[in-house]
Amino acid sequence: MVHLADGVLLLAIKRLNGERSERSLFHVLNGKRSATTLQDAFFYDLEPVFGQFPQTTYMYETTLKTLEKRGWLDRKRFQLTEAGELISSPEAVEDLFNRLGGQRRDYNATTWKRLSLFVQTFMSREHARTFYPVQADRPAEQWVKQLLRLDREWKPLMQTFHQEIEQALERIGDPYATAVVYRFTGAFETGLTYEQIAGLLDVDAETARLYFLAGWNELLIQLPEDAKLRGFTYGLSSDQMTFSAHESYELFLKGYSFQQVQATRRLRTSTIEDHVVELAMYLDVFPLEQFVAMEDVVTIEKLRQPTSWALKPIFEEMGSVSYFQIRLVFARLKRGETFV
Amino acid sequence: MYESTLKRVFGYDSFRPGQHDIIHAAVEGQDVLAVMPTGAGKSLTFQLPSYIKNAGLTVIVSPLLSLIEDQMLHIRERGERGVARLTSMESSEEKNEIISQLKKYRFLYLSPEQLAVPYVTRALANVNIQMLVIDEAHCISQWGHEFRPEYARLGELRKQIGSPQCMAVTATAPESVKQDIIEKLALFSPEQFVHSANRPEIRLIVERLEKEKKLERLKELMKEIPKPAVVYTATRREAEALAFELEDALFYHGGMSTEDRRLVQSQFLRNEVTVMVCTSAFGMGVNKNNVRSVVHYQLPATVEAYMQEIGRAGRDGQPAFAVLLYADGDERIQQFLIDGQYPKDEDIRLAYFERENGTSLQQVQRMLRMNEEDPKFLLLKQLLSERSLQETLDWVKERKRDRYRQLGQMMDYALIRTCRRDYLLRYFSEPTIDQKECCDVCGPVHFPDTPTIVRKNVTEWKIRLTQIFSFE
Repeated sequence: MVHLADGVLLLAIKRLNGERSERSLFHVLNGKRSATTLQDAFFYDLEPVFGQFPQTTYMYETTLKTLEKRGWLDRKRFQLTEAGELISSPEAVEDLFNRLGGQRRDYNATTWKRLSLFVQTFMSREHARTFYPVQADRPAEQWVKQLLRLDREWKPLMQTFHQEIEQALERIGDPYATAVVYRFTGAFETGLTYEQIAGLLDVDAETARLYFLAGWNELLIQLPEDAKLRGFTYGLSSDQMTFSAHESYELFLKGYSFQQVQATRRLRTSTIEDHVVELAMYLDVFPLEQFVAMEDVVTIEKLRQPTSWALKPIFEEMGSVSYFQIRLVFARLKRGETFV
Repeated sequence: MYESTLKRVFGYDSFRPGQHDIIHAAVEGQDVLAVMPTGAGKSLTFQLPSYIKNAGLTVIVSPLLSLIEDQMLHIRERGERGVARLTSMESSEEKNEIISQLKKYRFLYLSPEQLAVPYVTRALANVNIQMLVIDEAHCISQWGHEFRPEYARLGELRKQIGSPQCMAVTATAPESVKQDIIEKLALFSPEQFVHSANRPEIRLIVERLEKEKKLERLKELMKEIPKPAVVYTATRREAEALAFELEDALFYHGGMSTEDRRLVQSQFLRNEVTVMVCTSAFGMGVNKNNVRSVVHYQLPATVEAYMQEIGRAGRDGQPAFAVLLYADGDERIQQFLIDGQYPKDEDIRLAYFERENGTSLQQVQRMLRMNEEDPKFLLLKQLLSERSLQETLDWVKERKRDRYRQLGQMMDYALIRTCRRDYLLRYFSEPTIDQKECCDVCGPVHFPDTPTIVRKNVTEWKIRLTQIFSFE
């Protein structure tokens, strides 16, 4: 049996590079939408796992203990041992990790609830079978109800949905395809639990869950722009920016200065700074020189160790720039820009 | 006499035993206490009067979200739209909408907590209530096996909404519990309907064995007994471990995601999987008629719980089997679980001390390292507001002693060498019944031969997808 899920978790720790704490990872795994956690996820390439492992403190502690006991984790430094590196190194682990889609998890999860409930409802109705809804989610229920009230040629549309799913999954391939398809419930076939899917794929249940998350995320990415299935994402945003940062962004777009934005929104300086960091992380184009002098930008880039995103050494070395400014430069460097 | 309504609304031709009399009493305006085993058609007895009298809202108080959801599903399934619920699942907008249009509804389901919310109570005081139904009424009694503190206020709340006619229903209630229900709800010379707790179609079996042999025996047993079958265990972890050991088995417990729980239930209902290994979380509201066997891998906490759990077998009236596997010392798990449900004495003392010195509840919760939703903490919170330190200590002691006593009665069931059915019936203050196929003490029980079901092989995902989207 394959336990890729362990590897995924270890890889997350490895990517933190010993620069962040156990608690930092905990918040990333739980998908806490605070500035620090968003930045941790962004800089250390943890966005795919963001919020994809919701758990209690107690469970987290148990997991870490287990990893330590197996000799994979050095908890003092919060880094992997050699054995741990080995477990986290296979390509299959990295592939799974990178496809998990934590950046868009609400978007993915809501779309899944809508589509799976719709397929079950429609097919059961079509075959005149009573059914036990697989989703207990009021918004999804109401959404599907409204959808079914629309006057459409549903049958041909269903066939199109079927084709679109099949074509996307063909490109993605197994084991992802199996994990996604077997979660669907039709009029006669009930979807499988992760344990059962694990049985089909000869992996552990947690790995099966990750295959599903990854497969579904990948499916939504692979869908052509004009795919009919895109209707199920109606009203949802895959935007990563927090709502509050977005509001500040709109003011900036209107030409407000930092001070004006702060005065209008009546928020603390540090909060607006966090918003600006979000803009630097998520926007394709960002006016860096408005916040940091170009020569400082260049110095920061030169001073940075190629594998590190630690702010403190640079802050201490330079003396004249703030953490906020270093974060902004790092964000653009992380996006692949270079100023030297 | 109500058959035409029965046919029109529910599509049935005739009543099941006992239903008619209860409905008649309810239609006549009497308070009613009905004790009916699970699966005897309780919900129909409080729903039908609404269609006969059409005299306003029927308010149903139920302790579990899953129960409410399930009943609503069934009501909607038959095309009734006048049904709503007020639980912790609804947003405040949804609640407001429901409350502002109470007249639109025939049935309103709510949790006891919601009924106690002042503006809900007030709104209900201002509409015509045909009947107040208290489902799982045994929860009101401290003598019952599932006492729920939220139920304690129901009598007072009934008064506040204008003392409407009241029907209390439950599956199991020994004499003491019945008296408690009548008193606490202030039922006015209620008509009592007590169905026999006996389930003649279920054969009762206890196997005593050594602890080390239990798993092996369970595996064997699962090959012998007719299926579909439910295996009850005491803990989530054990449910998972056993499901892994058994063939064609899935586990079910409260720690799973809603989606997975629903997938498992649905597969079991449709006979796509034949064995369900679960904790007591499974069952409430699951309507599956053809369960042939219920196996207990661990001792349940009370005889009532046992009756309710084995009651899930043989609802179609066909022969079914209840097997209890018992090894000496098994009761320790239940003792441990009972202890875990009540705050420890030192924690109680600490909480009272800190509260007196002005520490906030939240801080106390943190000091005790309890989760905010931990039932233990919720209980402690309530005790703090209602009782003195000494009263609380006594109350907890008394409750634990009571629970141990009930566990002892369950152990006796496993240990006795006389008729097991007789023991159960005496527990519910019922006279002995002689029946041919009874229990392992009265004579050997034989399992009928069951054809082994060959499971389908794994289908390639494309074929499976085509099946799901097939209109054929």
